[in-house]
Amino acid sequence: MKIRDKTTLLLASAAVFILPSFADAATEEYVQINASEVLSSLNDPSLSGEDRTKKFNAYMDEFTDMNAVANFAIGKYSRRFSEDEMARYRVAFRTYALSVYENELDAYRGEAVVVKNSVDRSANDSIVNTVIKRADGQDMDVRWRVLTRKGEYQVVDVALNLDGNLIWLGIEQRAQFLSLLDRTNGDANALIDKINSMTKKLEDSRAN
Amino acid sequence: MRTTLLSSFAAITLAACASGQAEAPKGTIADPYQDFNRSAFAFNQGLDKYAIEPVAKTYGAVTPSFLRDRVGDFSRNLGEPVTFVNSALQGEGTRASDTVFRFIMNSTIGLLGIWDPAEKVGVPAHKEDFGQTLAVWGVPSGPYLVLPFLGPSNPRDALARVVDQAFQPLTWTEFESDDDLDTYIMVGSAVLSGLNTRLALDEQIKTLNSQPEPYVALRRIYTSQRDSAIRNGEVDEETVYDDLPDFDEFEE
Repeated sequence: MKIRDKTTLLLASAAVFILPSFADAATEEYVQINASEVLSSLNDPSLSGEDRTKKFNAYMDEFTDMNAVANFAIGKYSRRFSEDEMARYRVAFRTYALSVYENELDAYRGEAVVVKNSVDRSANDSIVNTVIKRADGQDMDVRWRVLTRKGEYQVVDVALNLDGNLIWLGIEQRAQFLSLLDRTNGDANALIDKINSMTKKLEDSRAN
Repeated sequence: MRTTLLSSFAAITLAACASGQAEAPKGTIADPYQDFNRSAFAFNQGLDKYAIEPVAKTYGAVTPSFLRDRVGDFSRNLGEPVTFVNSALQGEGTRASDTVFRFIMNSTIGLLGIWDPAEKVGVPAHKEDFGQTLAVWGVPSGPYLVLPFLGPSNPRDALARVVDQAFQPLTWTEFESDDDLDTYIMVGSAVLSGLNTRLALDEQIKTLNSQPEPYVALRRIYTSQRDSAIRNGEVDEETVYDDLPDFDEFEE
């Protein structure tokens, strides 16, 4: 084998082993930067409540593909809803999901996100493990599922580790949405009404 | 008669444990008795709304938190022998010895368990039950089950409650002064401890009831919390992501 061929083979072999670790590092960096920005957006004292929500929502829209998450939450029904039902559902879901995330993450506003490590489930599906360091010492283990879709990173679910009990917010939501749809013969309006009522409760509780 | 009944219950329960596990697809919770479970869940919700919650709130209003804390500590101390036996059965030597230390210290310096000085010296409480022991021994949980009055469970945990009662020393204690005193202590402690728990969980119960499907939410919470308790609160990093669903399965 010629030296040039050997070099090519060596580089190709190295790439096979090295590239995944580069991918890991890039995914971890993506979460580190974006999660920190999201949390800092909740802690900007110069913004009014409304402006803070707007800024948070803008970051979340960059951070995740809300339509894809909405599809995931209703599983097989995403193919059964009519276009109109799907459009109304997506609007309701987006509003609700952003409220949930704002509420859940509000407890960690302004805190530092520290990446611990990451696990690749496949070439396009990784979990980034982070710790959110809180000033009161109650650090939180938060895990981010990141997919590479169309060449871009997207966070598609977030898990909170509560005493060894890993709660994936999207998966929890999906289990309940699917059950509600199963029990109402796939009635999109029943789900949309329920989501809207939950959003209203969240907004009311935040206002009080 | 009691032995026969218990043996039959155990046989049915263990058979259900074995069959239920096989029916559950990966990442889901076997719930073949869902119709019965939903009825029991609705009954328990009604019971909570019209009886337990009002009683708990009245209890909370008329008792200072200091007193409720003493009740909680006393009740937990009564359960330490059960935790000790199960820690030992699971081969958890350190946790078993910690439990003995806690029981002796809290029963003496802690005045029959109404204080928890063991926690102050760095030996916090933990809980082990026979359901966790069976799980550590490899007995599958069986299908999800909702018991009227008792709440979410499964055949393994339901059977284990009976066994744990046998590990409770007060079950076998008779006081010379009053034959029924042991029963009064056990029932009184269980009732007050239950009210304490209901008060502590008030916000979580409100959140649960506001979910689209509270039944499904509770089923997932119960199952994952039991799994976590069996692992002593540790996440199994080797398998924790195995059951994640495919995200793009229904993408256009």
